[in-house]
Amino acid sequence: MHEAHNFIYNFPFFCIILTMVGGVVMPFIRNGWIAQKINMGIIAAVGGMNVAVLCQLMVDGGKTVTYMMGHFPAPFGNEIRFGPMEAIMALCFCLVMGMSILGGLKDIYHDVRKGKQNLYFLMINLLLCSLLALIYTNDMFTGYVFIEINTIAACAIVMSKDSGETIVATIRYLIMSLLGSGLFLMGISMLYGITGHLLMVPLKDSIGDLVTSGQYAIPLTVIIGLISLGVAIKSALYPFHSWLPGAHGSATTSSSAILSGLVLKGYIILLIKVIYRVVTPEVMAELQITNVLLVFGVVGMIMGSVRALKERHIKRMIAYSSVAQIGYIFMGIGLGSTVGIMAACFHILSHAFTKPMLFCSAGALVDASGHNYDFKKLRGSALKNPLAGIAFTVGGLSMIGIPLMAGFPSKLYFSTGAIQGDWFRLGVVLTALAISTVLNALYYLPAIINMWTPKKSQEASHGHDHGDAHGAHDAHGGDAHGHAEELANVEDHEDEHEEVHEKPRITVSFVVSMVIFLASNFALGIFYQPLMNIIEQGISVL
Amino acid sequence: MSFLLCIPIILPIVAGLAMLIAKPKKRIVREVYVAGVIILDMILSLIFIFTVPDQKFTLVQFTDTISITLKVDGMSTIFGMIVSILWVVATFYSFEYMKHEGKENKFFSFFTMSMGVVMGIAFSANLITMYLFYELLTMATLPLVMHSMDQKACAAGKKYVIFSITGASFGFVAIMLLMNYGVSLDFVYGGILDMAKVGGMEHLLLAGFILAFFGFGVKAAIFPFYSWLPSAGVAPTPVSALLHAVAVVNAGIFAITRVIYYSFGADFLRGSWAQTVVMVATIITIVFGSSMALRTKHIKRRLAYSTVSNLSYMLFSLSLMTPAGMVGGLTHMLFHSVLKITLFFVAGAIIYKTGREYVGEVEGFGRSMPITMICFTVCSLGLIGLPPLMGFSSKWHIASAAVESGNPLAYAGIGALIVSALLTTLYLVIIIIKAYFPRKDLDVKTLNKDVKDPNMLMTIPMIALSAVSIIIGVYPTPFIRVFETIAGGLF
Repeated sequence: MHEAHNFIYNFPFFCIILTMVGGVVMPFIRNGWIAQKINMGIIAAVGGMNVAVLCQLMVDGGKTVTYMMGHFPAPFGNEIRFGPMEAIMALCFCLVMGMSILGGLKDIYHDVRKGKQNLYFLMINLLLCSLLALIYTNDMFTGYVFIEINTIAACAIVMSKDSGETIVATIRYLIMSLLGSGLFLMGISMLYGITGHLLMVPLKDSIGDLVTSGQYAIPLTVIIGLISLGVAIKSALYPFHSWLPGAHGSATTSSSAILSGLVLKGYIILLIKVIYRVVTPEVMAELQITNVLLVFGVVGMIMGSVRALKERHIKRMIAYSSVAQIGYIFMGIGLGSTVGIMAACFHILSHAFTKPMLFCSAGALVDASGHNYDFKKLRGSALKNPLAGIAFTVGGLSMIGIPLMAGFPSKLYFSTGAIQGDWFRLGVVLTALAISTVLNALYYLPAIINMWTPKKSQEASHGHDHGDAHGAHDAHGGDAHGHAEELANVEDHEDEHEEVHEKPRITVSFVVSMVIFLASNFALGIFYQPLMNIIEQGISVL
Repeated sequence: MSFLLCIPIILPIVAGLAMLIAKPKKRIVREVYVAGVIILDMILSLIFIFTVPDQKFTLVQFTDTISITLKVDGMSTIFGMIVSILWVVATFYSFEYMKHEGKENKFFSFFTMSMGVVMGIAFSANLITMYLFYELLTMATLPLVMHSMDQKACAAGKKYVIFSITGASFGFVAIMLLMNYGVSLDFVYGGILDMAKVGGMEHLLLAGFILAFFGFGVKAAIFPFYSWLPSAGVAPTPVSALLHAVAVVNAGIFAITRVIYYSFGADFLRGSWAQTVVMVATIITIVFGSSMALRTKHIKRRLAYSTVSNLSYMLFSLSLMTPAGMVGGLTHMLFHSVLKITLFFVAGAIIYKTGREYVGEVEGFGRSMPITMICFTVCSLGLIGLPPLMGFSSKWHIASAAVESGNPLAYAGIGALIVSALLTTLYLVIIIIKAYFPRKDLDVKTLNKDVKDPNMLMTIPMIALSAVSIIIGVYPTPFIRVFETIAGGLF
């Protein structure tokens, strides 16, 4: 146990307070544009502070720091505790949050009613605040409180786009979410009942005692089961995913990006912390909960993709893909080994950088094709907005797991974890990984090809000309070449003409966001080793 | 100097991307550009193949054990040579052929990029690098298969992607097993398994080998994963000729050679149940492919089924798990590439000039398209294995390797070779007979009024390749020497 002695170790606490204050200030700023700028400033500041924290932690040898708020001891005070893993997660979350907002900025101004836009950023601030708190907290009850704040903020950013669809989606989301946090609350209150603690470290000791003495065996199983189940519902593990496609598919671009990329992960990080800091992986495995998570994860991987395959609505398709990716993460936890958890943590990051990129680029592509969500109708949209097209392509390939991109190292570590596990894990996980790769390819590739193919109308004229050229060919043999060439030239000119006409305005913020997302995606895919080292170090001191 | 190794890979990819953006409007500009890039790339590849052997260049270092690394060794030499030379030939052929397919900018961009990707497979120094380029190959060639973007092409493309990616993802599982039970992922002749770790886990690794064989075998059209290849025949003929008779399918063969001889090691696999499984599959494919070819009336599809059968000749030979078997497989890889690309060129020339696609429609072409049909005849006889033409010596090597191996199943394989040779004769000679001896009552003159040989851009590649096939067929020794050194693990 290290006491906070360095000034930098106050930063995580400042981050939480700063975002909270930022949220409180927002209602007083009527102008959405200014609110957005302030919000970006806060995110940047928080990100910067987390860089400092991470550097300081690494300089100090990758230790964990416990920080008592106001220096009050346990029952009255509140603790946060952070190590390298928490710091890097918080840092990446800030980056993704900022880029998601920039990437969907155009849609925010379009979808959210004027005059209410500042409130949207209020919710974003609260969301970041609660995510940071979930990452940093060392107290189960604080965790619960921020889960609720998170839920409310998340529901609000879904509903911010004013349509019947989003209201229905929000209500479903709210009910399922509250069910999840209710279960979580039941779990921790029972835990308090049998141990008398809410802080994580003393909890670990008393649970250890309970396990060795064999007392409360069944309640303990129920408690851990309830906590896992609550988290699983809130992060849309397969059979509990029904709220996700609606909420993520209908919300405005940035909201979908943030919900998919970050909000789902906040709870999982809390669960990982609970596993390591409270329950210990050994007890988890003994109670069979690891195996249950593994099975649910694997089923989710496959079923999420299968549902995505059937989906025509591009954003719902990406949303179902998130269900599959959450399956991956739970599968990593279910592997029950350090490698598995490392893979899960890395996948949290790789998915956090990839999915918002997909959502933002899909938003731009939808915009380019006249607000049409059917992915068949997106034909040719990438030609109008090539940057979005490239981002979607890279995102899709990364999800499939092509080397050099962020999805590949996850796949590498998941399979390593599986091979080092027992026979059951080896067989099930490797098969699931292979099948899931194929399924991912099956829905991403057609979408990618479709968006890079010129429109039907152009296509039809193409075919027609081609027929003509061919006919001419038959008649004149080699002499028709000049004719064919002429036709080809005319076609080329026409292509350009149309493109110039329909080109949508690509905003600077979108370019910045996409470039940073693309760069981080490749960075994760290529230089994953240092990151893995930090994660490994972080897990070892969790 | 070793960093130069990445040039043959990166140059075409960058050039292809540049073309995708620039979209040259004039045909002449495009043709000079594409021909320039591809010829330059061939020259560079050949220079590197012959001057910088045994040097490694690491493009990206992921971790201590995993990296994207390039290296030229014996296998790279063969595959790189076949691919780079035939690519140039096919490029000139496509200049003419693609005039009637349209969308040439897109076609040539991906055509050029694919070359870089295939060179990447040839030069890869470890399994991860090969996996990367293997996946990229699927992506780069997909737009070529779906070129016409009509319903049939899209269906074929979809099938191609599903098959290839499924294969690669199961291959990846095997790579992961090798990573955990091997010393490293580099290609080392004789295998990389760490016997201390393997102890007790042999069956797991053999299962992994089966996954790798069938996974990478998808691109080599092994039964029962062959069906994408005939479907992919809807692609423009240069694609069928170059990619689906040479580059892509040979990439499959190449990958399997790497897996058998350079990763698991032939010694580990020889005599195991896994060897039996893969040999049975190849024997079935040999006979099955030939019989399907005989049943198919569409010329390009017939040739595609013939490819299915011939690829399994190579796989059968490789799966003997002996150096002699490797020589036989590599010999057939080279010879089949030259022969089959020419046969496809002929089929393409017929489609290009007349639009006819079926076997029955070529009657009397011996007179109307003399050059084309002579090339077809030479290469058909070569593929049948008539001594002293090309196919004879490769099949001879396969058969003698099979006898030497002493594996009882190998005799069944020889039987399959004989049956398949008979079928090959039937399905190719029928076309020749129709072309030279039309039915008496048919008015060939009016029917084939406008039919003539295509222009130089198409005939010269065909003539050159046929000539090469005769020359190599008569003097195969130097090539076989090279293959023997490679299979001896010396180069």
